[in-house]
Amino acid sequence: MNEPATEPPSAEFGAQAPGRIEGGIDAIVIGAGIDGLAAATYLGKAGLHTVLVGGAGLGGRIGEREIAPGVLGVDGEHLLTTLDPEVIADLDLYRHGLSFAARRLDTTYFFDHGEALKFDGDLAQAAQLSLEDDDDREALNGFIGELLELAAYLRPAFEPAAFTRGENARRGLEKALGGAPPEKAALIQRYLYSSATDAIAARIDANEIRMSLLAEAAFRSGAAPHEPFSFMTYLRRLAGEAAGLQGAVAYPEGGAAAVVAALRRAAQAANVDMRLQTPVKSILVEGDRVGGVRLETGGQLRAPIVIAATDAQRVFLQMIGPAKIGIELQRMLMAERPEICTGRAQLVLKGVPQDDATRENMKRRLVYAPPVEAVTTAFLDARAGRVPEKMIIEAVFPGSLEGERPFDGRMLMSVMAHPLPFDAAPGDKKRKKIKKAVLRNIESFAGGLTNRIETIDIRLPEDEAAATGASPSSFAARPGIIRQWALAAATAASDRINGFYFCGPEAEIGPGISCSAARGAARAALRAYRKGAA
Amino acid sequence: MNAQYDFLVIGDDEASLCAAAAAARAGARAAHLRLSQRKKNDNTGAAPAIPNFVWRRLDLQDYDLTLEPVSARVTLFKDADPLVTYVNSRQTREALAEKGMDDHHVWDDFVREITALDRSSVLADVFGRATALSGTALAQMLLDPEALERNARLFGDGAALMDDWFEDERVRAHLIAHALAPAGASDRDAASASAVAEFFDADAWRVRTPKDSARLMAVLEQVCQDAGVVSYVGKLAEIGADGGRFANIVIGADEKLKVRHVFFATPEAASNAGALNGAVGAQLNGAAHACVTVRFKLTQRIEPPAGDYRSIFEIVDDANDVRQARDAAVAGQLYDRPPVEFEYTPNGEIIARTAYFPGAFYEDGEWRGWTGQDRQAAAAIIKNRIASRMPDFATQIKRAETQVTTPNAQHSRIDARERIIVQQRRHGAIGAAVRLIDEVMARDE
Repeated sequence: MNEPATEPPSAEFGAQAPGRIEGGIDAIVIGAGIDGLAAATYLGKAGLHTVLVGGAGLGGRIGEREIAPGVLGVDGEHLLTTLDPEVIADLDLYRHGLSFAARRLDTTYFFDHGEALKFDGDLAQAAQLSLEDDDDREALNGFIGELLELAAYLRPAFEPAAFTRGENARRGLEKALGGAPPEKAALIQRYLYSSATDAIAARIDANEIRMSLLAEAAFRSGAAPHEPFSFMTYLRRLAGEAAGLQGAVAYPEGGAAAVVAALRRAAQAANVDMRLQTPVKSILVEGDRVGGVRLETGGQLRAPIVIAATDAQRVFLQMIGPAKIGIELQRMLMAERPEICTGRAQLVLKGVPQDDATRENMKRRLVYAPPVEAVTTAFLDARAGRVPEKMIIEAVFPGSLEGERPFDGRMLMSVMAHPLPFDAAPGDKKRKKIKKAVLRNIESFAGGLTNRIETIDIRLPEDEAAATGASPSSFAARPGIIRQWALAAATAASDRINGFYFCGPEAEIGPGISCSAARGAARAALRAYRKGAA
Repeated sequence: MNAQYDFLVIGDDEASLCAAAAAARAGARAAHLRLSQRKKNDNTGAAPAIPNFVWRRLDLQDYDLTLEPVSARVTLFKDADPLVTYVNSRQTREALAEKGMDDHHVWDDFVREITALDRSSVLADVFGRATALSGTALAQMLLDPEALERNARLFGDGAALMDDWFEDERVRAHLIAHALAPAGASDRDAASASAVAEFFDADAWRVRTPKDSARLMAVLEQVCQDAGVVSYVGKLAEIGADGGRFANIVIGADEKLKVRHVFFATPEAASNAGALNGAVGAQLNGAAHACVTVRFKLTQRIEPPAGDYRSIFEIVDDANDVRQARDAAVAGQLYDRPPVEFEYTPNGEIIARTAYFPGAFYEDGEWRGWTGQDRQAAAAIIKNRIASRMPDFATQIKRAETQVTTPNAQHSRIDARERIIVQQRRHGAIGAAVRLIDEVMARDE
């Protein structure tokens, strides 16, 4: 389970003699997940001698793993929606091997009673595919068009790590948001407060379109869709882009692990000194500035810059320690009580369908959208610790997306199921229940499919925590937008320890792979470094 | 030519009438739209608080009304002594200390902090006073981690707020029940902490009931008439844009008006008009709930189990009860132990209400509206809840009148959303609505 994503050359392992203090380092990055890799690459590219230390394998929770003999699956994420385009450009990720098998994945929404609705992957065209009714088409196009426009205004608000430091970034944010004309600002205000169900019901009459949009808006959100502030999750999704198309879902060649691979090559090219299996014990804070890190082995690495790219509870409460951070941040971190999470399942299926229609459908993103009431009930259940009856399912077939790659007569289906109750340590009984519920929901839109299951692999926050060494709560669904903003701003401010920067999951807004917090932290670090050097 | 107004205030409650009268008295052209026909025994349950400044603005002393402050807030638990708190913070502290509750140490600090939080929050301004949140204001909020933290706390859940402050389960349940009952919300709902803050707004405590027989609604209608408010009765059919600074209103089949602002004095008023959906944002609970009010006429007065005849009572088993009631309402189910609020009228009747019933019922995959049977079931639940705390109650009932207010399932056609203003507070709604009218008028000038 704990195997590193790709076998690193042995030089990447840093052997530290106990008690040794190592100097001559410009910057230390803690955490070898995608954020850590991205931050380290930024620093390395700028010519800083950068050491990347991490307790687990490269890529964090995103890595390839053998699901069944001969079948490789990717853990963590299976699609990209919000990968920061600036990071792709700044770090030359295309040159380092990133490529997309699908830039904009079309989506098919499945409903109860066997109906389905096809959306074009380019949301601006969403309504073209299968809506016959002119009014419905017009309503959907108008709504999505408006949301895409608002999301573009809001984009800087979804990059908090960038705006808490540096006057330029602050001015940029004020300009971008302040530049919205009054009627757009009024709309942003309304959607900020809106519940997802209300916002959708106010604009869309057709029940199936409502269900589709609600599935998107509620997917992977910790905020229940019938409560205020929950609609913003959807605007965050629509503000993102992965392969140059706003709001679209992209699939990289090789799945999400391809982003890790490209980042790793970029980091190597930037001469980042990668030391995996080197767990950090604490972060040295001396007076008002950071001095370096102490390793589990007892040795020290000294550097004027430390960037932490792992979860906030560990970084602030354990590595830095409650005595050295403000009471507000402490209170905020301790008050985090996640209730909802997303489950990840990978299914190995026997047999490959031969008919063209099914094969075509397998090249799309498949979403099961339960009735609006069922989604609401599911959130109430999950919050109370029960496994919901119905849930939103997102499924893709990586093999089909990459050009019909067969696993000798078998297929891999990659699934995300939401919402599930968050549990730091679910027992066997609960896992069984979750597995049953997920299968039941898959069966409800893909009848007969579960009969063909050879292997099913379910991954919950507990497993991701075990694989990465982070706390399980950092893999729970993100809370409502205001709380996310507050957490992001508080952690990105890094409690005013000079030279210290934070870009863990709490510094991001929304789920998925983004790297914008890493960009923000690394740029802020570089600005400070240059000022100090000058 | 269609009649033109500055404000069309829509709603069948006291706050709407006060807002319309205040607008007219301040010189605006105001109209009031009543959505349903007036009934003989019309009441929205307990008479709400009228703050002093509204009292003076509308010269209510000239009408047949008296000032009477709420004496206390009482919660009647299942197996524990009643808990009583007062508007006066010192009195509350002493009452808690007397019961041996450690939470009395933090009471003053809590009240101070929650009030300060409410006044300093950017979002509370937008939320409560319908001031526009410009892009620049949003940016400034995002740039200030402390402001964000305050907003996150105020617009987070009430449970977290209680965790921060109180140890005693009873104190927590008491605050949650009294603060959230008007919204039918639970302490896990997003933004429920802000309702607790509203509850401590002093305005919510001032006045509660008119003298003897004069119903507050009838008096306020007279006040409106004297102030020159034009009244309409009928269904709100449409709010349309006219491209300029007016909205086109259609009432019923053919009555057409032009108005500058469509004003809802409470979130319920907007919901009942079928205009809430998406017209505004952060309403606790949205359109999910029905409010059931039962007026019990008794053969003889029943002594209150704690507090006195001027207290507001809340029946709740524990905080978990509130959550289950709320979850059931959202899922379209009737829950048999909802929190129930009641109070005495000056002539000894008991008015009980709960907002924890579903707006519509969800059965076998279909939504259906309220039936006569549901009304009876709901009234019986309320009766049993009170009887569980006051054993004599059931035998003393002479007559019970039940009133169910459900949100309008048929949404009106609404285009000119920018012309719609919804006052969001439930505690002290009258004061907040009149203030909001003032702010809108000041902005127009």
